[in-house]
Amino acid sequence: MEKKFRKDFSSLESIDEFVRSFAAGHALDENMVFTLNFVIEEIFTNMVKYQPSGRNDVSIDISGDTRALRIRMTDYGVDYFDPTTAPPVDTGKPITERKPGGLGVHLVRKYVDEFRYEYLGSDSVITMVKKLKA
Amino acid sequence: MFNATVPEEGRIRLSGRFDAAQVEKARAVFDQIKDSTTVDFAELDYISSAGLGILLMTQRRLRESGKSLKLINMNKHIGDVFQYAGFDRIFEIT
Repeated sequence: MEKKFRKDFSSLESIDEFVRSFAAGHALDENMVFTLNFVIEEIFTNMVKYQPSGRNDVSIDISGDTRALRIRMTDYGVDYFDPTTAPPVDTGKPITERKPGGLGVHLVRKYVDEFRYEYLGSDSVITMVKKLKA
Repeated sequence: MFNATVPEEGRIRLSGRFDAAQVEKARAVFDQIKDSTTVDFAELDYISSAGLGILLMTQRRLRESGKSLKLINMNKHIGDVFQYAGFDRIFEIT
């Protein structure tokens, strides 16, 4: 199931509707809806914030079976930007040393089982795989 | 739809989806906090790192004057996010 979204924070509500539509068709529970929404939003907002030069829409493709879900997000016509290499966040630091930056990718790593980046032509492609419990 | 309301002094009630599109709306409320405040998550369905960022910066600002945010009534999904982020060590969560 694939759809393109305008590269703007205002798309997040339509992305939620898209996720819920996919979840309804695949009998996914509210926990999985939350996870899908979360990891997609974190990557989408990274694309909005760090690749504003690309004005094309962002494509989100969710597919899967009973074993795993695959989320593929494509940001067209942008510079190379690989969020999968972001350094880990030290969550044990005291509050005075904690910063919001980098937290999104840190949390994506917690939720998904695979997190990959490809630069194809001039397109940034993020693929995330979430295994499903049997 | 996200909302952050102040039903009484020292209390903020969140509802809906606290995503990156809601940062300015939330900041307008959280920037007004000067004293220790209880944030009620009972009607909040979702939060992303953008929402966590607002809470973190508010907590940091309040701590400088010996105040803090207390977070109550989180659903399990949101509680997991706080735990993964290490925020369960930064906030009092009940």
